[in-house]
Parts: sequence; C-alpha cells; structure tokens
Amino acid sequence: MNEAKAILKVRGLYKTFKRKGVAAEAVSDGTFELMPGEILGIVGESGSGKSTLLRCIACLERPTAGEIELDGRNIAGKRPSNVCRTVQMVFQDAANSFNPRMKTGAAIDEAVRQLAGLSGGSVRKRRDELIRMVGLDPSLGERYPGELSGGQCQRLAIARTLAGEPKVLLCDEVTSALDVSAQAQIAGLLAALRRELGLAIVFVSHDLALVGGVCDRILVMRGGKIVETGAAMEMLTAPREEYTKLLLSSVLSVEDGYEE
Amino acid sequence: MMKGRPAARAAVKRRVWVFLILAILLVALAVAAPALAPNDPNRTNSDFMKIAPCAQFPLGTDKLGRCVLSRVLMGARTSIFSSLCVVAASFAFGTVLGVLCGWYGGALDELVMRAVDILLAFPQMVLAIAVAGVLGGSLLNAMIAMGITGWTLYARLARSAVLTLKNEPFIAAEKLSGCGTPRLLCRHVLPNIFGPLLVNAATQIGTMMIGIAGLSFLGIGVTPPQAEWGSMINEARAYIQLAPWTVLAPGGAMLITVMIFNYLGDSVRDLMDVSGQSHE
Amino acid sequence: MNDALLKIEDLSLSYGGGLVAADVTFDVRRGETLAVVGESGCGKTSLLKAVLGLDGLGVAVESGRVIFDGRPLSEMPKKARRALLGGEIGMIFQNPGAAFNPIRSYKKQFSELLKSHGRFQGESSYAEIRECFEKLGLPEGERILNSCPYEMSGGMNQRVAIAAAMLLRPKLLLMDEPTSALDVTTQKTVLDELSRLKALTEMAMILVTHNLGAAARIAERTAVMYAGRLVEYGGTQAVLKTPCHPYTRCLIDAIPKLDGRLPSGLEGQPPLYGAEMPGCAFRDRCPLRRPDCAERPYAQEEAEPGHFAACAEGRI
Repeated sequence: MNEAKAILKVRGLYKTFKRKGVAAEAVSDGTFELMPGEILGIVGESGSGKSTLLRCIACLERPTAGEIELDGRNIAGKRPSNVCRTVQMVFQDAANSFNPRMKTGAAIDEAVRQLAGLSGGSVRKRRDELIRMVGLDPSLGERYPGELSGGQCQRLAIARTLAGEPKVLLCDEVTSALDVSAQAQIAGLLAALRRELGLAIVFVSHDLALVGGVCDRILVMRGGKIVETGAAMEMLTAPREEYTKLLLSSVLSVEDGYEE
Repeated sequence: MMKGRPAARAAVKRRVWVFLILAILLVALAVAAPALAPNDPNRTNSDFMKIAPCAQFPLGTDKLGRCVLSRVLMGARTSIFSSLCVVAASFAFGTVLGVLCGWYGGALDELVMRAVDILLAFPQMVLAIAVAGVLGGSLLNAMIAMGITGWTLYARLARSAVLTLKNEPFIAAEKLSGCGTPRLLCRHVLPNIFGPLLVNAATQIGTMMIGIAGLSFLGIGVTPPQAEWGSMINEARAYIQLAPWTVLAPGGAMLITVMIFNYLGDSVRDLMDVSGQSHE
Repeated sequence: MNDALLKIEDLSLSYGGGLVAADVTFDVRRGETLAVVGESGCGKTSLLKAVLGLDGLGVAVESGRVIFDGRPLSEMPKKARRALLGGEIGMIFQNPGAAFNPIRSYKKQFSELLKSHGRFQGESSYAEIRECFEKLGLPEGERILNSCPYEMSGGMNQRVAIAAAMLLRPKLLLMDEPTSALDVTTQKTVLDELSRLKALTEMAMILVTHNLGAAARIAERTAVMYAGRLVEYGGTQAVLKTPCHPYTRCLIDAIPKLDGRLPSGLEGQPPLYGAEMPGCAFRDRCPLRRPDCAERPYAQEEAEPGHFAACAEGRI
C-alpha cells in the first residue's frame, strides 16, 4: 500500500476528558489510515471512544495529543470551519441534526452557500440536486425535521454534508436509531455514494453484522483503544481477539432458533 | 411523528389568542387614554371632592376632586408602559449576557454568575427600595430599581438553555456547514431558547407592575401629581371608608391587568408544553 | 387447553386523526411470548397503548375489542382498569430512563411502587427485590437500591426496570423495544434473562420490536405489522424461515447477515394512515405486486395450521 495515498492518517491520537477533577481517557493511542474510496468500519460499544475519535477528526474536539493528517494537511486541533470542505460528519440523532425551527431545505441551502460558495438561483438548484442524490424527492426540503421520519432526516443530513463535495464522510452510528429497513436503505446509500463520488467513509456502529456488510475493513475499539483491525470478511469469519468474538456472538440472528 | 394531540393543542391555542387579544386591548387602552379620559386627570376641583360615581365622574372623584376614571386610564399608561420598558430592557440585557456566558463559559461566566448570586441574595423589593431611596423618588428611578434584579432571571434561563443546546447535534452540524459563531448564535441558538424566556417575560410584566406600584405606594416611585395606580392607592388609603372607589378603582385595574398578563404567560407555557410532547 | 390471556378482536385504532391500526386480531396465551414486529409507524406501539387502555395516550379505539383474562377492557370502569396496570399488566419502555425519576434512589421508588399496589411489607419486600435483581443478573442488590438511576448505565437501568415490572408479578408483560437503547452485548444478556424469567414464572409477554433477531430469540409466535394491519402471524420459526407475505420476506432480506454482503434495502416509506387505504397498502413497495393488489380486500388466510398471512405471494 502506497502510504502517501491515504486520504486520512491518524497517529497516536489521545483525548482525555476531565470530569470533576478526574481524568478519563476517551481515546488512547488511536492510529489508523483511510484510503480514498475506502469504507472503514469502527465497531465498539458505548464508552469505546469511537464517537470521540470521529469528533476529533471533524475538529469538534481538540485532541490531547497525536496527529491527524487530512489530505496532506495537519488538522489536529483546528476549527471545524477549516476542515469542513474536506471532511464531513453525520450524527446518530438525525432529527436533531437539523435546527428544529428551520426547514430542512433551508439548512441545506445554508451549507450550499457557505461550503460551495453559490448564491442566487443556483443554490436552490444545487439543493434539489443533492436531495435527489440521496434518493429523496426535493419536495421534502419544504418540511421541518419533526415532520419527517428518522430515515428521511438521515438522508437529508447526508445530502447536506455533500454540499461542499467532501472527500471523507464520518458516520457516527447513523443507523442505530433507525429500524431495520431504514438501516438497510442508508447502508445502500453510503455504498452508492462511494461508488459514484469516490467518497471515503468511516462507518461507526455497534452492529457488527451491518458493519461487515458495508465496510471493506474493520477496526474494533474497546475502552478507547483499537484492539483489532482487519478485512471485513476476516473479522466476521475468523476474529482473533476475545472481545471481537464476544461482539460476534452477540449478534442476534434470525437463523438462531428459539432456545428452550 | 405526531406532535402533541390536536384537540388539546387547539384548546391551548385558543386560550393564548384570548389572552393575547386582551393584553393588546389593554395596551391599546393605555395608548388611547388621553382620548378616552372623560375629564382632565390632573384637574382638581374643590366642589367635587370625594364624590361617588355619577354621570360626570363615572368612577367618582378623589380627595382633590380629580376624576378617578381619568386617573386610572392615565395610570394605565404609566404602569403598563413602565413595566413593559423594564421587562424589555431586562430581557435584552439578561438574554445577551446569559447566552454569552453559556456559550463561552470561562471567566465571563464565573464573573456574571457570581454577580447574579450576589444580587439574588437580597430580597428583590428590599433592594429596590434601597436603590430607589438612594436615587430619589421618580418613575425612572423606580424602573431602574426594579430592573437591577430583573435581568438576572433571563441571564440564568438563557445560560442553562444554551448549555443544553450546545450539545445538540445540529449545532455541530451547522459548525461543519461553515457557520461562524455570530450566525450560529443568532440564527440557531437564540430562536431555540426564546420559548421559556418569553413565558417568563409575560409573567414578569405583572411582577414589575406590582413592584413599581409598590415603590410608588411607599412614596419612592412616581412623584405626585402623576397618575399611577400604586400612588393612587397610597393617597386614598386614609379615607378608604369614606370613598372606597378611590382605592377599589386603581386596585381593581391593577388586579385585572396583572391577571391578564399572568394568564398570557401561563397559556404560552402550556402551548409550549403541549407542542413539546411528541410521541411515536 | 391453554386459553388466551389476551384476545385482540378486529381492533381498529386511531391516533391524531387517522387510523393507525385496522382489523387486528390475535391472541396471547398464558406463559407465551408474542413478538410484534414492523417498521416504525406500523402501529405496533399504538397497539400496546390500546392494551394499556389509558385515556391520556391519545390512542382511541374505533372498533373491536381488547379482552384481558376474559374481561373486555372497554367495559371496565376506569378505576378497575387502572388497578390492572402494574398488578396484572406490566410495561417496560424503550428508554431505560423513562420509568424512574433519575434523581431519587431506587429504594424510595421501589417502596412507593409497592405501597401504591398495597404490597409493601418492609424488610421482606427489600429481600424479595434483591432476589429479583439476582435473577436478572444484577449483583450487589443493596448497592443498587441505594443508588439513583442517573448514576447507572442504560443497561443496568433497563434491568432494574424489568425487575420493577416483575416485582408485581404481572400476568402479562408489555415491552416496547426494551433493548434497542442498549449495547449489543447487554441486549443479548437482557433477552436471555427475560427468557429465563419466562421459564420460572408463567408470565405472558408481548415484545414490540423492529429487531427480528430479538423476536427469533425469545418469542414463540410472531406477528408482522405493516401500515396498521397484521400481514403475517404464526409460529416464529414458520414466519421467519418460511414467510408467506412479501413484506415479511423483504424485512428478513433487510437484516444484515454475517456474510459480508450489503443487506437489500426496502425503498420508500410505509404510507401514513395506510390502514385507511383500499387494497393492499404494501403494493407500492412490493417487488411481487400484481394489478389486482389495489382492490384486494384485506383477509387473513391460513397458509398452514396456525400460520396466517394476508398474502401468500412471498412463498417460494
């Protein structure tokens, strides 16, 4: 693998939070790389540090130590406005990813104006284009987030992130609050966006089966540390670490019978 | 995705309209007072002192022969506008400070919150009396005295609302959409914290009105002969048994006004509660 | 003969101005677990609200009956219905924090709960509570009793909520997505504990979930709902391994299997108030739709003994 080609390099990332004087390490020694057009999965349960890791990359948090190199630039500790044209993030709570008092289309317009620098009539045109790109009808832009389903909100949130044509999309448990068919729709959308736009995606989830289906490579995180990495199929069929095996066995499969 | 229950929401909305219209009528009455007053409120008349309500003086006259109705109407102007002013100024000042404290935290937050704690350590009216006493009796000084503690309510509310709102994903999403801090605060934070602040503002109008009236009642507010409900009650205290209408009229007017604004605040809060419930 | 503890007969429900469920018929036998699965908005939560029978939840019964233990709920006076709750019908919510006041100790809240049902007996009640905790895999019962909900994780709070529901020994336990807010490893543990409890008591359970894997794990029978109608109903194994209805088949296909492939998503959304539509509400998204699907009346056909479906096109 030609190292210079990685679109995202994270090296020795540490993030410590101080809560009531007690220091807690949310992320320890996070190190990995993301290639352009690759979908990397991060699996872990709550408290594993996966969200914090993503927030550091999106510059929503300032890392305590470590380097983050995005498309050749060092971005650790910068502000979101410095990086938002290259890296974007989608959150778990889709409905609350939009200002409840603004129509979703207006929020996308804001992103289009600020990230793509468009103005006037071309803003609306680009907004409709983005909404169609995520498989929805542009009329949904006239609704408020509270009037849409979780799946629809999430798709519109993804549409908004595409306004600036980012190279990396960070997805933080974007399917966890959705039901099973909406989850599959979003997974399919992300795979299509990778195909059509060459987006590199980091897909964080606690659902190992879904991650295995969507991602090329998987990282397993526990207690702030990366405990195992490998190709998706390898992790699903022959995991090495105990924790990964535990996660695998916790997957509730329809194939399992009803146990007496 | 249903928000609230339509029937309950409709009932609450109706109530909000009713009280909003009543409040607007009150303000309109206050604005039109000079036109509506049957007699000159300041004109004294030794022939008509302490006269019971009659055709010429619909609410009677006070000890100096002045028309009570006219004074009540002009007093409405003083009371309502002064309290609206104080509330508006406290609202603006307190909200801005509270938002900045909540957003930036740090030294500013510590400083302002300690100042709030100190101000709130004194009972509001006692502090107001002290301030008005020091500054001297006048309507403006009474307003300042009430306003000194009035802003703290909004500062605290705004600050805690901002602290909660800061963690919402849409704030992070807007940062990633390229929003700078000023735009974030004006377009995304303020509109989402207005609700509880407005409710408190509506209720505070009544509190301010009673406070200013109280200061005037004690003689450190409005200077006579300006018509103001509190000072009217004070002046008429001595002969309440001889001419009860001189006390009942301003007292009743204040009661009705404060009630209307309080109910307005309550129904706006109910409206927000009902629309805040969204069940699957 | 194991007769039905809960019978739902031709139930139609409205919420917020439209029909959210129509002609729903099923029953739950004593000691049995029924899973009700479907996408969000299919009416499964409204069904639970109808069984709870509380007026304040916004769900109105348009027609049909809910019969609990031989007594129709609609004919019971309000007081009697309220007495049922907690005592005979227990409920567990999706959000582990929803059932308790986050800043009061569990000890206080449990004693209040028992007192309000007239079952508080001082020290022996606390001993019983600790025993219940043990059964649910919560060690150090005393420490938990002295803690407040906000100090504990979601998984532990949910298990405590289950313990609280169990304490009153209900005949029927209603669960609305009890494990979706929990971590995967905790989800499996909680489900396993629920099945163990089932074996120990004779409690019937209704599990409302969109997670078919959870249904497969603990439910004897499964009902699949779409847009307010029951589209398939039968033994869990039969419904999940040999589904009849195209929607059930699509749902199963949408689940990511551990084969490294992308699950096939079902495009579109269920129609709002689909129960009011003539014909099959699924036709717009159905891969097997036929021209007559628009007029086809809703009817449950028995594909096999005990296995009902509104449409058998999905059978291979």
